[in-house]
Amino acid sequence: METCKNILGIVGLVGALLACTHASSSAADGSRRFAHSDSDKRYLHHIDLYDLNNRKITPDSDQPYSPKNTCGRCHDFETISHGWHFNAFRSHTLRANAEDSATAKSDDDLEHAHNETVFDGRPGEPWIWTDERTGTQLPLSYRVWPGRFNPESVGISELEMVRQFGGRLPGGGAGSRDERPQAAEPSDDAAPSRWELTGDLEVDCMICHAVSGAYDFELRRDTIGSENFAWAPTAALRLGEIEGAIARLKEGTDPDDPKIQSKLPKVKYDATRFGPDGTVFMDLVRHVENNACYQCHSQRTVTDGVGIDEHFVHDTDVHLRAGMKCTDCHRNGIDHQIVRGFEGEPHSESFASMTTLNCVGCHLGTDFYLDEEEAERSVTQREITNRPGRMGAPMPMHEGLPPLHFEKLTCTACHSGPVPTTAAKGLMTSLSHGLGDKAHRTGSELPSIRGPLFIPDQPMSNAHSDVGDSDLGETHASRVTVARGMWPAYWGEIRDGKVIPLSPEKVYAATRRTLRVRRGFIEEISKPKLSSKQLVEALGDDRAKIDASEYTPEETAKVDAMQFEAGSALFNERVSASLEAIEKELGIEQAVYVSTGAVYARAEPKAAEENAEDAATTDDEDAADPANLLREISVDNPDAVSMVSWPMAHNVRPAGWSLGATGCLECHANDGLIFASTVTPQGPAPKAGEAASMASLQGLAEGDRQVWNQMFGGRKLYKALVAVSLAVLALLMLAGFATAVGRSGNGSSGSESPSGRAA
Amino acid sequence: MFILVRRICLAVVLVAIVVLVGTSLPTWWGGHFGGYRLLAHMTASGMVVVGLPLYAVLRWTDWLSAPLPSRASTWTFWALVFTGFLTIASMFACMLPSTTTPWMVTLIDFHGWIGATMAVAAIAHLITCRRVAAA
Repeated sequence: METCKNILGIVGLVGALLACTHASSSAADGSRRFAHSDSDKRYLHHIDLYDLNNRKITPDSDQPYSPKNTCGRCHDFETISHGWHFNAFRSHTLRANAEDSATAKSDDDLEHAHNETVFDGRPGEPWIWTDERTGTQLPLSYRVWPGRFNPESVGISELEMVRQFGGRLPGGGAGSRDERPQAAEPSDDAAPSRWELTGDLEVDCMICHAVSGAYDFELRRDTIGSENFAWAPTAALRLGEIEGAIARLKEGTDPDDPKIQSKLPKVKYDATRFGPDGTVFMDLVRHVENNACYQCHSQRTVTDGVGIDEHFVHDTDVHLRAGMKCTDCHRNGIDHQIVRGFEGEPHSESFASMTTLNCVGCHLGTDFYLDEEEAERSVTQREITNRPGRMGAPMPMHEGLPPLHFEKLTCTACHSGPVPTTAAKGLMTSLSHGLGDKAHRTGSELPSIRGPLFIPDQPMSNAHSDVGDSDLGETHASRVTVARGMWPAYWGEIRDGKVIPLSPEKVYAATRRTLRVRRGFIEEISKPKLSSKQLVEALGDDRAKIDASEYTPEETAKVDAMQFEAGSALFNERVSASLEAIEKELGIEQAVYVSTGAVYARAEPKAAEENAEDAATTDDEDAADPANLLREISVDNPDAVSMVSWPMAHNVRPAGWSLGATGCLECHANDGLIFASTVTPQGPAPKAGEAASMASLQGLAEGDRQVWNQMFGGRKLYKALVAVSLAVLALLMLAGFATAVGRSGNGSSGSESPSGRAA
Repeated sequence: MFILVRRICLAVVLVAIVVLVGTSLPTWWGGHFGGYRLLAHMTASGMVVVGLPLYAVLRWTDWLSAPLPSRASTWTFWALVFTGFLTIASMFACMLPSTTTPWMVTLIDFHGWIGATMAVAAIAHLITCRRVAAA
């Protein structure tokens, strides 16, 4: 009897263990642990809200609601929170964990080291730390992409990153304590972490899933700007009013201090939002609406000298015109690893059909690039889902276009981006220029982003290195694609011949007195407003008073030249003084300023002194060359100062507006935009870089291009020549055949006739 | 005079074929066709487009009046003309703004094979012509 009990006990224990194992394995994909509606209809969310301490929120509560504790009750929050967007501030943590697991010596170590794959994929838009006062536009990313700096290496903390960019981050990653790298044990005298005050910027499900109009992005940004991170989801849904701001509390404030506790923000809930049963209606949809995407993925073009192009001149992406939504292609499963839609993007085996969610996949099929034998072996022959035409995508004929173009160009090179002109325009994006905020923009605000650029696409990266190292993963045949680009501008130091950026906050503190910029580096230093006296000097008494828009081209050139001269002098003086201040205050041997691809350092002390003496003792302007205060130097890591680019995929233009739609000569002519359009490096420094043609950025020699163009110039004539040649050969064959028939008809054996022999 | 012109034409066609085969060889193993290799290929194709019909007309009209060469020489001549016609025609079709990508891929493939056949025919024709001349 006792034995039977034991057996039953063991069986029960094994059964329980199996059940637990099964539950945990199925929880990973969220398919079993949480209930589903499993219907295409919208599920109405009248739900209870819970705060950070998992207490149910009532109209009388004063704590913000927690998406994690509210949404996470019914959805697999853990899985969701590691999606692509939430990982933007988490890539470094994953990488560190991956390294931990690689170096783990014991099973115990391995248990602590997550082994998630770190795949950063195709380079995307960097987080550009912009400070108009110091002339800074510093491209940052936790993902290892060429030209971007890891914030950690620049000395920018996760808190600073969230404070700076949190308004455009859907939460998670470094915003959540669970996802931040494990800090070393704090010492007793260490200042308390400010995270204790700000709270976490949790993954906010409603930022994407709320219906258009139900989520106040502007209020969310303001709330994050006040450092009320934990309060942002509550504020954005306008569930109540937030009183108080963490930003008003000094650095180093002790969160446990009772006085401080009383100063922490409080929520005054709107009682009308609560139903009789205490639930709140969350107006949301499963398939995210375009409006949510536009919040961070909008773009405007800027015409130099004119300003931001009017909204009405822009056409919508053809896919949207056809009635599609962003999430029709950029879709995701419960893991929220959203399909980015570039070729070569990896997908898990169970989501293999996602491989067709890119231009080629939908329009031409995944076999398009395969040769005959490979195509016969490929899955397309067996899998319907890999065939072209998904979602009714039309199959392009590309009539007359040699297939070589598909090896040399991405689809987007010809079909996407703003309509190209002879020179790349200015571009403004949501992430970099805060589009969506109510502001007086002119189009000249930093960062200076240019596009469209027709440049070779960059290798995808899965590397574990910082900028400057060459370990950028497996390279692939580079094709020309359409992209945006910017030239980094920052203050840095020279270490072992390499330039390394300095923390922008430290730079601002060190240069406040020397730069003396109140609003903008460009308008106060690089392009200062000319005084009335200077304008009279340049234009004469009468013309000096008129509006700049009425200047003749010659007058504009004169004013620009004078402004450049004044700007250069100011730039030299103040940047030189600021470099000296940085060297002194931050204890740096050699400080530099980087802009438009140039690295500016202070002139050798002796030269600078001599120059200053000359300036003081002589009236001769040439003797006192202000350029001597600064000098341009070269560095061993040119990647850190050269153009940073990232491909653009939208807006897709209609076929008739694609490059080459009118024939070969649209591109293969000396003025073909894909080769001949130019881009000029621009940044805060007064000196703009030299305009570079797209052909030069593609590595093409101008002479070679012109040879090719000449061949295309005579293409029509050549076609006529070929037609004549074919006609002659055809006639000859007919004549030969006729002669042969005639000879054989005459009874000739053909021994004397060529045709007869042939016959 | 005609003989000289005809010989020059044949020489031009043969040299062009050597260039065409040489420049296209890497693509037989999946190589990229571009840059100066493609430029040379296109230039040589122009030589064939002009040289082949000229040679063919001169050769054929000559045969109409002169004693006939060997049967082999005649066969190789017509083989050269026929494969040359198809090679040029497949290239011409690719140049028209009405050929779709799948068709163009097929045509390019065909162009490669028939071009190789033309090269064989040209060599054979050269050999048979030389035998006739030697005899």
